[in-house]
Amino acid sequence: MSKLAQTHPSEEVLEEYALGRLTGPKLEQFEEHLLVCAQCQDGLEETDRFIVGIKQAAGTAPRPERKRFGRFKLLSKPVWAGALAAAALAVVVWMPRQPAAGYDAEVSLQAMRGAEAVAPAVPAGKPFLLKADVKGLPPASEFRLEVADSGGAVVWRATVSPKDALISTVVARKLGAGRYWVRLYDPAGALVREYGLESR
Amino acid sequence: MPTTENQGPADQSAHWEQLVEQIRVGDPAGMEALYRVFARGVRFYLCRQLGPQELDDKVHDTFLIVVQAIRRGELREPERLMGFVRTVVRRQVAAHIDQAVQSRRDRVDVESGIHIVDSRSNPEEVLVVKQRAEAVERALHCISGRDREILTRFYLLEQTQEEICHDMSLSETQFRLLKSRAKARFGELGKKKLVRSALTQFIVRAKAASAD
Repeated sequence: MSKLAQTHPSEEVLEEYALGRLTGPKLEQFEEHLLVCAQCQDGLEETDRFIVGIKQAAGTAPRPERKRFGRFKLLSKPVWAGALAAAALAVVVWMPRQPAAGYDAEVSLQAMRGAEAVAPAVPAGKPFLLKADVKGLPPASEFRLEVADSGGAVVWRATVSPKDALISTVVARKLGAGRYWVRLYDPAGALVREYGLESR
Repeated sequence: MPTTENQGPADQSAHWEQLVEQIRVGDPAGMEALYRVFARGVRFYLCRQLGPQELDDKVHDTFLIVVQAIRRGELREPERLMGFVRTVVRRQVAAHIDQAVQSRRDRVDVESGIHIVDSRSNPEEVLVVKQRAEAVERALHCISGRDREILTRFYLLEQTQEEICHDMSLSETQFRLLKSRAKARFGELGKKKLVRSALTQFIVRAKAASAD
């Protein structure tokens, strides 16, 4: 049995997991331990609450500048594509932008009818600004956004407050190449929208 | 059956083998032990990934799958029971997502386009959430600029330690120290402000009640 599975993981490991950064064997070992350790379950719950709290607070704070900016090819015009998941229902508009503090691309998720089932793409390994239109949803002070990989594991999450029926947040998590789901939950925890996303 | 947490690797391995064998032969003690060891963790994992809806059913399905798989001889290495349970739980999560996507596709209304659950928070819940967010935000502005920057970079922008050290010209040790201090300071202030906010709510409610 692995050492991590036997002993309680550090606060850093809990944070890494809560932020969706734990991968590979460390992830396996941690999750196996989590299944049988009430202390670490409580610790993770507290870590989750702390992260949600600080994201809510820091979301309104001015963002520090990053010294390095990712580079990627900018398209000359916006790319419209259909999405998987809510497949015929969601379209991601990828609007290439000049690199700005914290992200290198912008993605808008919108509900549309009759779109083609083609997964929209974001550049792999780069942070991006995610915007989602919440028009038509019951009004709420906040929504929970999650990005899950094709195996269902949540790799990133955030709590965001809508403004003018739009939510907007930086996904700084560097997604590896592959298919992902972007899920939107209301304050009661119910899944209200889901979009497909490809990272390549 | 002893618990798992205080056992060494050899003990735990024997523990899982014994448990698996009990389940395989249909011994109710094995099933009870399996549930006792894993129920909280499975429930926690599923709730965290999928939310609280139909949680009991999902937990029950997970245990059913594990037990049936053990009885069919699919768990070839009994000492890997924890890993096996984890795999089953993750597959449950993936299956649930697939199902949710599929059922949404099947039920799509051409006019509305999206199936929306109407579950508004009540006004008090909305107020509590708002006040909590404000209290936390005020706490963030009470810590130093550098502490605030570290927390913002790490938790909001989700920069790695290496990136933050590079951007802020910090060593790894400095980063760990500063982050730990910033987090502790922020946590203390946040709690104080939340308590104050909860007290204010209580006073307001008490006044309203006495006015009635």
